[in-house]
Amino acid sequence: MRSTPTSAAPHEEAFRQVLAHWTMLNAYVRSIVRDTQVREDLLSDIAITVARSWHTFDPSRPFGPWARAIARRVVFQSLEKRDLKPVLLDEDALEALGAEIDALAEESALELRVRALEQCTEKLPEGSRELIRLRYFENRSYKQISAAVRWSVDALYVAYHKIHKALSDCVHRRLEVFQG
Amino acid sequence: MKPAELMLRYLEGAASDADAARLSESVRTDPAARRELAELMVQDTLLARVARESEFRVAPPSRRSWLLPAAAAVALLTVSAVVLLAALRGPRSQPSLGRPSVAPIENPVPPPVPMPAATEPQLPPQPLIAPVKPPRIPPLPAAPDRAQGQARSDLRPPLPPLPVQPWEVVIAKIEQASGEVAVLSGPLRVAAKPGQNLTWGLGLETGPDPSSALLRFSDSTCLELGPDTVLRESSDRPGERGEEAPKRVHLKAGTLTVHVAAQPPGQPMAFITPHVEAKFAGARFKLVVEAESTRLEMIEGWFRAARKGDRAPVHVAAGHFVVFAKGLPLEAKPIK
Repeated sequence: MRSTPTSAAPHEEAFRQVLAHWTMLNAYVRSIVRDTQVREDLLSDIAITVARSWHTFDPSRPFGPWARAIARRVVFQSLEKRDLKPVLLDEDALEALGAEIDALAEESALELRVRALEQCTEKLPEGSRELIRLRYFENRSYKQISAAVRWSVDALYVAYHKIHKALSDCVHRRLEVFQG
Repeated sequence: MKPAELMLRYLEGAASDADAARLSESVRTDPAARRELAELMVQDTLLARVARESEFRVAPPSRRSWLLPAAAAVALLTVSAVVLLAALRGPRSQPSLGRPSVAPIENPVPPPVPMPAATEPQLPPQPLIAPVKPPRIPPLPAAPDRAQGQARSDLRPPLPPLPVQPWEVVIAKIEQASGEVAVLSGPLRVAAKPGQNLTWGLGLETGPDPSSALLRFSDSTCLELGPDTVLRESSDRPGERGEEAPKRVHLKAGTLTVHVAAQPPGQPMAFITPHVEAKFAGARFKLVVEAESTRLEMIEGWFRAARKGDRAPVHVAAGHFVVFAKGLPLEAKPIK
């Protein structure tokens, strides 16, 4: 069944859906495109393409896979235009990962998660906080961080994995508190 | 290398074809690994968002942002309005991680803590946050004596208060707002009204001259915003551990005339600009933030900074000013 949205403004519903899946789309595109600026441009393009294609969306089916298909098309067209061929997960793996992210990333729940993440980040030991600051607040590459802290890049992957794990555990505990 | 470590390498764009094939295999065949990687992706995305919000940066304009059609704007505004309404009750916290690069001031800003020599960061052995047990609701009393004519509901013991959520914590009150004044919540803004409360983590922006606003904290600390001023309240969550958090505001641009009331011992109020982080236990001063510099004019009280190079202390007494800017010597001069 083709979508014939009953609302007066189909674009509005399309963008509402995009916003409701924004983190999922962001994370999905993040798994393909590394450059932040390019990614932000592509997310804008994806939002517009979703709105323009809204009449083809079947509302009896979930939005996530449909939006990811559009995202994939927009992103790969862009990579092709730029003659970029990054090393990527295979298509099935990308979709499986996207679906898993979709299951995790319900936007209203993510707001609480963001709040929890902020608090948990502040409670990290100083060394870990510094690594988070370098990576996310100063947007440095692992190579740059490696030079700054004089660790090997492989040691950094281990360290960041542990930090992510600690943050994830903390966030889940905090969410339990938030949600009673 | 574990799948998550491999994923970090992949996200960095440093994975080989073999790495990507191995990762793809894990994602396709191992639900636990897939879940862990999805969690990692979401957390990575959210950390970037936390950083962007708390840094209080104006993101560089997207090269093609103009492409968003008017219909999108209408739709986004509709949804944003809902978010903003919630945000006005629910501001964002601002982790202190997002401090801007500051001038090398010895006092009052402490020097950065050096990285540990260990090969990995020391993660805490104990849980970061102890789980909190939900409050116990006492049992209802025995059936009321109807003869006393009391309604049953009147006899029900009061429920314990709900825990205060961050977005419910009022930090300050907007006492005056003239001209164009807007409350900021993330990328959203809504017109501010006198008498409106500013809750934890929200920001305030004034428009062109003669716009202005006056913000008063509960301890009588006053912040007067001049025209074209943008600030964001970014204190730690108050009362999280039963103590009052030190106040902290980010001033991105514009002019701020401040009267800091006496702060609790050891908890000076922090003012963070793109060029300096200054803490005051009680003083009156004016901050003027421009693109390349921050000017601090002391009206009452004093401020001590450290000069770049020899790190000699520079005292800024009342009636004097100092300019923090890259390449400019730190020197207190009298206000003419």
